Amino acid sequence: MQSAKCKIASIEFQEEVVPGCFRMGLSGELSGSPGQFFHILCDKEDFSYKIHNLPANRLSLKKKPILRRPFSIHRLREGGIEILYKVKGIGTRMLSLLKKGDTLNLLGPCGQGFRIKETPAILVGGGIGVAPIFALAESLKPSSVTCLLGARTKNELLLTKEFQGLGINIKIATDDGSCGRKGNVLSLLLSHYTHLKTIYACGPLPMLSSIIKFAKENSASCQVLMEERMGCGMGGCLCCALPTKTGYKKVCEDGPVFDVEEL
Amino acid sequence: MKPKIDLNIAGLYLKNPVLPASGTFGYGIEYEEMVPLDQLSAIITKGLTLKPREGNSPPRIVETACGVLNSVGLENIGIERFIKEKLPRIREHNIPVIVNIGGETAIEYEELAGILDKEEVEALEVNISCPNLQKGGAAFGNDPEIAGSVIERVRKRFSRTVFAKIPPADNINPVALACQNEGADAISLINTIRSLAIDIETQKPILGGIFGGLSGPAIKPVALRMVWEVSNILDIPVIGIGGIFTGSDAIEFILSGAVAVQVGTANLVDPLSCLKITEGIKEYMARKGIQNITQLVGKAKLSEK
Ligand SMILES: Cc1cc2nc3c(=O)[nH]c(=O)nc-3n(C[C@H](O)[C@H](O)[C@H](O)COP(=O)(O)OP(=O)(O)OC[C@H]3O[C@@H](n4cnc5c(N)ncnc54)[C@H](O)[C@@H]3O)c2cc1C
Ligand SMILES: Cc1cc2nc3c(=O)[nH]c(=O)nc-3n(C[C@H](O)[C@H](O)[C@H](O)COP(=O)(O)O)c2cc1C
Ligand code: FES
Repeated sequence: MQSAKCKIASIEFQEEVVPGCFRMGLSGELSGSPGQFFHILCDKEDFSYKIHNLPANRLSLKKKPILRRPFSIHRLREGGIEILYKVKGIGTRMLSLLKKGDTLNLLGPCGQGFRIKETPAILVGGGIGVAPIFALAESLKPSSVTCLLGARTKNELLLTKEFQGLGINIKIATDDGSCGRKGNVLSLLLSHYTHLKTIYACGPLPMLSSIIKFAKENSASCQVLMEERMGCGMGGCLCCALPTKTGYKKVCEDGPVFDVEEL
Repeated sequence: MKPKIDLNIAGLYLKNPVLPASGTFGYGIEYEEMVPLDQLSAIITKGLTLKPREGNSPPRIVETACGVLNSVGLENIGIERFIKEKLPRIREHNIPVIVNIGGETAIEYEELAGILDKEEVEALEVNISCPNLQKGGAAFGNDPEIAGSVIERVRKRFSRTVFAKIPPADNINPVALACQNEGADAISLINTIRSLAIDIETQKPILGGIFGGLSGPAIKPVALRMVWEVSNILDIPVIGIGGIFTGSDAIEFILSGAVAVQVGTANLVDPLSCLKITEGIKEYMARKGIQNITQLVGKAKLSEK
C-alpha cells in the first residue's frame, strides 16, 4: 500500500563518507524542500509491515527498531533524494547495512522546511547538521551565501569539497584546531555576521543554543532546525514537543525549522 | 462468501473490529491525506480534558526493547476547542466518533459527559487509566470504588455508548466488574504500563516526565492474559488493546475473548495499520473458512471450561 505520504523507495547507492557516516541515494516518487525530513523505517521493506498476517512466532520484531527514524533531506534530485546520516544506535546501524537495490518504507516529506528570504544568507552546519544545510545551499544563489562549518576535528568535517563545488564561500572551525579556526562555529559567526543577513543553522543543541542566543541579542533573522524524539512524525501523537514562547509546538509538524523569534 | 466482521456495541455500529487507540491517531484528521478515513470503523480521539493541558516536558518518547515508553501527559486542546475546531472536520468523514475523556476529578468526567451528550458524538471512552497524570487517571482505575463512581457519573449524563478504559492493575477483575455494574457498555483494556528508562551517560531518566507508559509488542502477552480473564467474568464486551501490529495479533485477542481491538503504537509506525490489520483478519477468516467473526470470540477458551 502506497499513498500520498507513505512511499517505497529503492536504494540507489550507499557509501561511507567518513567512518561512521553514510550517504544514501533513494529513488522513488520523493520530493520536498530543504529542511523537511523523511520518517524512515530502518529495515528492508518486506517484512512485518507488508505481511500483516504472519503467526506471531514468525515475526521477530524483537530484533528490529520499532519506531521510524527522522532524516533530513540532504539533496533533492530528479527522481529521488539523498540522506546523509551518522550511525548512532540500532536504527542507523541497520540502515547502514542495507545495500543497493534494497527497498525502504518512507513517510514524507514531513514538516516545514526553511523559509527562504531574499537577503544574503549565512548557513551554519555543525557535525552531521550539515546534512540539511547542503540541500538549502543547493537551492540558493552561491554568491550570496557564506557557509560556516564546524566539527570536533578535521576527520569529522563533512562536505567541505561539495560546498566548494557549489561555488560557495566556506569557513571552517574545529574544536581541536586541526582545520580552520580553533573553536566553535559561533566564533566564526561573530566575525561574519552583518546586519541584514539571514542565518540558517543546524547542528548539536549546544551550538544551536548559542546561535539562538546570539540571534536574539542581535535581533538577527534566524532559522534553526530543531531535533526532538519522535513517534508518528505526522502530528498525531504529540511526542515531539518543543517549548516555545506560545507553549509546546510539534517539531514534526510546526517544525523542524523554527524562526528564532518563536523560541 | 465475504466474511462478516461488523459488530454492534450497545447501539454503536462498527463496520470492522479494528479501532485506532486513543492518543496514537491524533484527531484522525491529521491523517486525512494519507488514510482513507471512511474505511475505518470509527475514530477514537486523543484524550480530552475540560481545560486545555500543556502536557509533560520533553523528551516524551523513548524506544525500549520491543516497546515504546511515552509521557505525553495528556496534552490536549480542551473540550471547547475540540468541539469547535476538530469535531466538524472529523464528522466530514462519515464515521462514528468516540471521544476519549480524562480528568483529575470525578466531577470533571461528569461535566465532560454532559457537554458531549449534546454533541454529535457516538460514544465516550472514559480513560481511568492514564499512567502519566499526578491526579486522576490510573489512580482512579486502580480502585474499583472510584472507578465505579466515575463511570456512574458519566453514565448519568451521557445517553449513548460508554466504554471504560481501565489500566493493567493487579485487581483488574474487581475494577472491570465495578465499571460494568455502574453501566459501562464495554471495557477497553489495556492502557500502557507505568515504566521507566534511564540514560546511563547523563545518569538521569530519559523522559521529561520521569515515568512513562509502556506500549507495543512488549505488553501484548500481559494484555492478552487480562482480556482472557476479564472477558471470563463480564457480560459486557471487551475491547482488546496492547501491542497489536498484525492481523494475527488481533486474532489472538479475539480468540482470547475480545469482540474488537484497538491499535496504538503500530499507528505511529504505519498510519495504515488499522486497515492492514482488518485485511489480515479477513484473510485469516477466509483461510479458516469462518463466516462470522463472532465464531472466533473467546474460542481459545472453549477447551478450558
Ligand atoms: C527533524 C530531524 C532531522 C534529522 N536529520 C538527521 C540527518 O539528516 N542525519 C542524521 O544523521 N541524523 C538526523 N537526525 C537524527 C536522527 O534521527 C537520529 O540520529 C536517529 O533517530 C538515531 O536513531 P538510532 O536508532 O540509530 O539511535 P538510538 O539512540 O538507538 O535511537 C533511540 C530512539 O531515540 C531517537 N533519537 C535518538 N537520537 C535522536 C535525535 N538526535 N533526534 C531525534 N530522535 C533521536 C530515535 O529516533 C529512536 O526513537 C534528525 C533528527 C530530527 C528530529
Ligand atoms: C503516544 C501515546 C499517547 C497515548 N495517549 C493516550 C490517551 O490520550 N488516552 C488513552 O486512553 N490512551 C492513550 N494511550 C494508550 C493507547 O491508547 C493504548 O492503550 C496503549 O498504547 C496500548 O496499545 P499499543 O500497545 O497498541 O500501543 C497513548 C499511547 C501512546 C503510545
Ligand atoms: S512525532 Fe507525533 S506529533 Fe510529532
